[in-house]
Amino acid sequence: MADSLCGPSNALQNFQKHTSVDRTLQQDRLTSRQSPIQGFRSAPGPNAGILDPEFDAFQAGRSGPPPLQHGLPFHSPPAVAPQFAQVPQTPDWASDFQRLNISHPQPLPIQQHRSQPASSAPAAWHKNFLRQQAPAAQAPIQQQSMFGGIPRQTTMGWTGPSFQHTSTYGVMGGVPLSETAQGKQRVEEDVSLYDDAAFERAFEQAHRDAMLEVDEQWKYEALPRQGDEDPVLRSLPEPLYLMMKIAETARQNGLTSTGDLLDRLEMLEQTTQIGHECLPVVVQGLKYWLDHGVTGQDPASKAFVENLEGLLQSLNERIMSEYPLQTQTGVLNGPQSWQEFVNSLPLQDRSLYTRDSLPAPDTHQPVEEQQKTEQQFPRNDNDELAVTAGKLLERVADNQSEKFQKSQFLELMRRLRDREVVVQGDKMVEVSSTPCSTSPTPASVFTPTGNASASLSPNAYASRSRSPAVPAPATVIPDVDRSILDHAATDFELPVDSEQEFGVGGKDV
Amino acid sequence: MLEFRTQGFNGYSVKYSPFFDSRIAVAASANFGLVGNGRVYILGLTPNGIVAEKYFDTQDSLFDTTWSETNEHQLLTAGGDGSVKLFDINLSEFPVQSWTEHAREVFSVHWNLVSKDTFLSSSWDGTIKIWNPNTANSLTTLPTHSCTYSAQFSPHSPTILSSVSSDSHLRIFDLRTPASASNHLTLNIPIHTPPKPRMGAAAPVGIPPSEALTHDWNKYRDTIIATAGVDRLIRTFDIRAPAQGPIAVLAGHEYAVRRITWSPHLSDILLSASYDMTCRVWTDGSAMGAGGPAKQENMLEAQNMILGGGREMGRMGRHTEFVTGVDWCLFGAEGWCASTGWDERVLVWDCRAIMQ
Repeated sequence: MADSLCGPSNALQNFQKHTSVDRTLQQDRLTSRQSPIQGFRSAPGPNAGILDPEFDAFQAGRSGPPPLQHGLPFHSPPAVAPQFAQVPQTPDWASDFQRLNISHPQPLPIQQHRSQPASSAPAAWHKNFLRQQAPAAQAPIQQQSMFGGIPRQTTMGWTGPSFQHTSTYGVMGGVPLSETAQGKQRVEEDVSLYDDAAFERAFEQAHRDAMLEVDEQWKYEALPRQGDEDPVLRSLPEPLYLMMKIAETARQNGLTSTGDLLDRLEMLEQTTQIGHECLPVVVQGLKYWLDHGVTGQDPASKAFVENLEGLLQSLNERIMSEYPLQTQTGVLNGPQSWQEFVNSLPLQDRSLYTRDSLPAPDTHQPVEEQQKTEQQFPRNDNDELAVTAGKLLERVADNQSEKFQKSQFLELMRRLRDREVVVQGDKMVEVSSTPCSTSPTPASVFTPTGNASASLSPNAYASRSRSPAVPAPATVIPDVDRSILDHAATDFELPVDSEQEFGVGGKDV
Repeated sequence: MLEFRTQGFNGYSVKYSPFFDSRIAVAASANFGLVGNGRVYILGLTPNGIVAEKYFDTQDSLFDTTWSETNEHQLLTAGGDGSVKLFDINLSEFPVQSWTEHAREVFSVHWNLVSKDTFLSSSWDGTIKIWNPNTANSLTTLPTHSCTYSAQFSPHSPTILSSVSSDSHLRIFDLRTPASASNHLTLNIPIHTPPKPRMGAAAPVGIPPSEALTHDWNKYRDTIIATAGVDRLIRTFDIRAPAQGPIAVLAGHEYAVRRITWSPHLSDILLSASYDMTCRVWTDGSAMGAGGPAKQENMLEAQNMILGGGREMGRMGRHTEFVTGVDWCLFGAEGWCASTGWDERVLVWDCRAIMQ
């Protein structure tokens, strides 16, 4: 804190600031608050699909047009070997794989050339290498393996244990090396064939593992909800799940099983102790369903609708009581709420909500709602304004000064409090028949703003306890000094000396 | 004393032009800013009094204005609809540019006084935004999480800015710091902290936080900031010692203080405008010999929070409604200033006439 106030102290500090800038906010804006999954799926990169045939071929076990040569990095050191060794990372087989697809066998001269500086490396890595190779490598191939093993060895120096534990690499570590002694070209072919098989095996193993994991996950998820077939439903959180079950039932059975619905509703009612973050979602879902799903006219369904509305109201109250005051929540209505709700779900869940059996979220219904609330606004606003004006007048009621008694603003507050003047739409309208002397601009066009109550907030005026027995003016106002202009300069020409002093003459033009 | 009547519009802010000694901008709103339009006046001081050279109407109330530091014909306004508009006096009707990123009323705008290529705006949506007049979007958004009534660039550094807000905190941002978790925030000073107990006086009583409405950087002492607000007290802080509490507390206003501004000529003089319908001139006691007798008074009424030897030097009570804007003239004889208020009047007067 202090050093930042005292300015940049050294270059390294600046560099550190540069690199440690948190850009997450900008990134948030770039994705315009869409879920990352959607962005990923709907906007494939420019290279999407290029590697697909290759990958298919790889999965099918064919050795496709691009020959797979996994053994290559372990026998023909790429030209970048020294740099490669400097990167402190585990051997990433995926990147090796990529590199290999585009690079054919390195020319031998380069290898030899590369081996020269490597063989003159300090003895430490050499011994290390020997120790690691001891179980598999024999003495006669030491020279050759060293030849081929330079990059791997350097890599081992960084990541020894993990390298050893990988079974695929472990196999390759021994056998192909012994064959390298016999002939470079053949060995490469053999190695590539062999590695194809090993690679496939490893991949299959990984695939099996992944499938097992998924199965276990599903088993676990399915435990409490075994009666459902739809895995998407099963993966939903509890309140959403319940809500969707209600909706599902209503959709499938029409309104024939209202009793069942009521049962489920009660279940939902019992779960109103669910987490706060789920409540708005539940409310939105219920509201939507109430608007679109329930259409029956029989008494049972009417009662059901009533129950649903009661539940909705209680949930709403719950939400509102937990939001801080003056927060514009915007979660309970608004034309886009359903769409936002759907958008907030993972992609695969979305089909559930936008399927044809559920009516598509039409916008006119929420718009109507919004219009309704807008119509209510003026009245609420006036109520609020009257209350605020009353509070404000209480605050200054003790002030007996002439100025406060004559204040036009306070007079307007009085009229607002007594409802002689109300804000209607975009105008301040006088309710009583007496002529309004306080409205300063009857002809001006008013526009509604939200700042009325806040601007009048009693907090803006300090409370002040003053005895009513002292009716003296709160402020001692000096008499008007009629000769004030006598000791004031009335010529507003810029004095020459000050102009020179401040050097402002140039700006003037 | 010169007077101009902003018929039908209640003044919210007044600013002298930094280029001309005879030009004033006034931001005003119809119906005290409750509902209705806004208007920004460009007033000229002439031998025949104050004349309106130009005015621009806006759809919504205007709460603040500031002159461009680079173009003598341009000025910014802060609107009740969340918009920040740049007007050019040479054009007839419409703003040159309008930025509408704020979600609620914008309550202050201020031009960067050092680098002069950026400006800021602060709003009730709990953010301060930094803009370049040539770009369509804001450069930076600094959250304060509370209604920010006032924000300013430091007059001494192009990257340091400050704000006061309804949570009773004075915040200092430094744009040179990394925008990591703290969002450039470097200091967060609670304004309501009582001064440290001192010898010969009773320990000050803690007071509740209250909304801070205005603040200003001292033009000569580059670490001194004055704040004021609903609790009627004007305080000065030294940002070198943020934990020390206020170094001077000036009491006297009877209602909330809406605007304060340091003198551009004297390092210890500041001017305030208040809801008690007065403007007052103060010294914070830092000038040599300024606070001699006042100090003795302080010792007598030690339960007051008065501190630092400052005192009220005079008051101007000609306004008949809340006074909301006041500004010093940068040129000519020191002491000339302009004030505006909800009585639809702009007054131009000389402080020296009321100082004792």
